[in-house]
Amino acid sequence: MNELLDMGGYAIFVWSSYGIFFFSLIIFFLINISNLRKYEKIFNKTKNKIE
Amino acid sequence: MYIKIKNNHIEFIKSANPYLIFATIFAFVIGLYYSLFQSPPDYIQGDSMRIMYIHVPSAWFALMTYSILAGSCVLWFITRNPLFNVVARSIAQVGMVFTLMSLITGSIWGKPTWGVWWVWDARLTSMLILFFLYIAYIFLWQAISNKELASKISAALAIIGFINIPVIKFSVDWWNTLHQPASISKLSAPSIDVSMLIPLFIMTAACFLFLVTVSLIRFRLVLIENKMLRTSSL
Repeated sequence: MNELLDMGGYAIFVWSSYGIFFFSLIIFFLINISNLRKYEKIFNKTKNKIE
Repeated sequence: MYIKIKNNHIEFIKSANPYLIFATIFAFVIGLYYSLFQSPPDYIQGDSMRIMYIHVPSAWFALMTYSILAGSCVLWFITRNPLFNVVARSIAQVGMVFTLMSLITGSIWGKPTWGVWWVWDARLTSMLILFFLYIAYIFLWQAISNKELASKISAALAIIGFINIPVIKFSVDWWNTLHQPASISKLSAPSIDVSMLIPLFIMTAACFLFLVTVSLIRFRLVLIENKMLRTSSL
């Protein structure tokens, strides 16, 4: 386990790369999903008002 | 040629969404297992080479997404079909994120390999230009209130910016760069071992699934934005 965490002395580089990569992808995905839900809500409200 | 988006198309995209999310997560979990546990360290670079499994797919999709973006803009100019504009706007942000990831992970990989975080060599600089092209495309569209004009200007920028794609691809062959030449080519056998190719391809598949999943979410988002813009202008 320690060997894996140590990454042959490159731990700081490997783990920070993977961390930044997955953190950014997850945040980007969540922002888009929440924006879609928000816009769908607003659009449906506007549509109902017009109808 | 005029392609129209029908409600059943949107319903199909909506219903495919959970399966795509599941497939993306599954592919990333398998990819991570292979990248971190199964793949051996490189005999020169050691374990720092594992950054390749996220850096290379990010760079590939940064280029591929920009090519689709520029292609959609060309088709929009020819046909004036708004669908191509929607496609371009849906994928632009995903491409920008992949470009940024490619730059950041490349910079982190550069420190233990080259001894520096950044050098102004042809590959890195052209990749940075690609990132600015994505930003310019996204912000031009948002900044100009006349959306017809915004579409024209941002599409023209995307098409002109396409010149940068072959520059990025061949920069390592044309100039003497610190960045290594391509290890995987269509014309010759790959110069990396199969034990490293497997995790690379799994991570590439995972990134592709992510690209499709988020692009389809953004596609629905951009369609609603367009409808709202039309409603507010009535």
